[in-house]
Amino acid sequence: MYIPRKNKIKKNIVVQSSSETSQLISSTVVDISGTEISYTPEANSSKVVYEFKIQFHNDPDQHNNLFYELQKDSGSGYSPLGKGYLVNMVYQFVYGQNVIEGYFILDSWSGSNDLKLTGRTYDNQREITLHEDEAGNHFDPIIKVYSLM
Amino acid sequence: MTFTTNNTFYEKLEFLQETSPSIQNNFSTSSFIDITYSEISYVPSTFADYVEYQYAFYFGKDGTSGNNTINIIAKLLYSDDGGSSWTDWGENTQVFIGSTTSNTRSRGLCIIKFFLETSASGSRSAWLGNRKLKLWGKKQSGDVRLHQLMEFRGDSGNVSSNNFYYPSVQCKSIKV
Repeated sequence: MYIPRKNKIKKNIVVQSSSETSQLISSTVVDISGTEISYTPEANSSKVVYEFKIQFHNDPDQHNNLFYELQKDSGSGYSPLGKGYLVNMVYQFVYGQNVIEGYFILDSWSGSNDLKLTGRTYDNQREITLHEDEAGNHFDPIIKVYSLM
Repeated sequence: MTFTTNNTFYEKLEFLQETSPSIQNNFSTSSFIDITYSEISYVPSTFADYVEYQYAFYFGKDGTSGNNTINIIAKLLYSDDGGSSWTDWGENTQVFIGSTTSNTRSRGLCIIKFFLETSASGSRSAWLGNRKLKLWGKKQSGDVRLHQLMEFRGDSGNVSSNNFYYPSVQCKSIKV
């Protein structure tokens, strides 16, 4: 179903960049540090957009296969949002370093809810390090959330 | 640190999101075809010097045992007659995504973003009314599949099919 949204205005734009140390992701699901945010949508908004930008490098492994997804806490604990909010990112044989960038669009809600990204790797031979490049240059994740009127 | 702000200008954001996308894996190496869900109609705000076109999508391997060379070339087209005829936008509106190396196996989200002048340029007239935009794509080698994740492992479970990233296309006006 195509969902058109015309003449929309972004409201209540929140940009977060918290200081995080490097984070090794392995085959167990963990919170991706620096991606959690509490957000209260603008009243009468139709959608909420969650944008993210996260640096990574391949180490300690040559190949990387990161699964990450958006989870939401509406007051009774976090739950994965499932289909449409999942990503499988793969770099193999290239010792990849890059910035993970994207966004998810959610239906709006009332009051404050929490959002975060969680992730794991395919196995422990495809681990990945976040928030820095291979040379150790640090890059805190940037999270931007806003309402679409 | 956290910043909170509200826009003080009207950027006239318009976007479309497909929440029931289908796989697209019909790219050839010889000719361009439409990239699905990349088309949008837009009238810039009267103050606009530029329009930002943005298309977000997932790209990856075409099947679990498919070719490990994954790439796509995308370029922008426009139409001023409601989509009857299409013209290349031209300079600065073609990108290469992925790799021609056989084992890169690259997969992930991708955002294509172009900044488009609203003033006339060459044979392209000034952008004063409704103009359609869309992407054409072809592959340089290998195979590529758009929109569908072949695999996911996480709190949503371990799934091997029927999982999609919902592609979206948007335009907004920019004043220099």
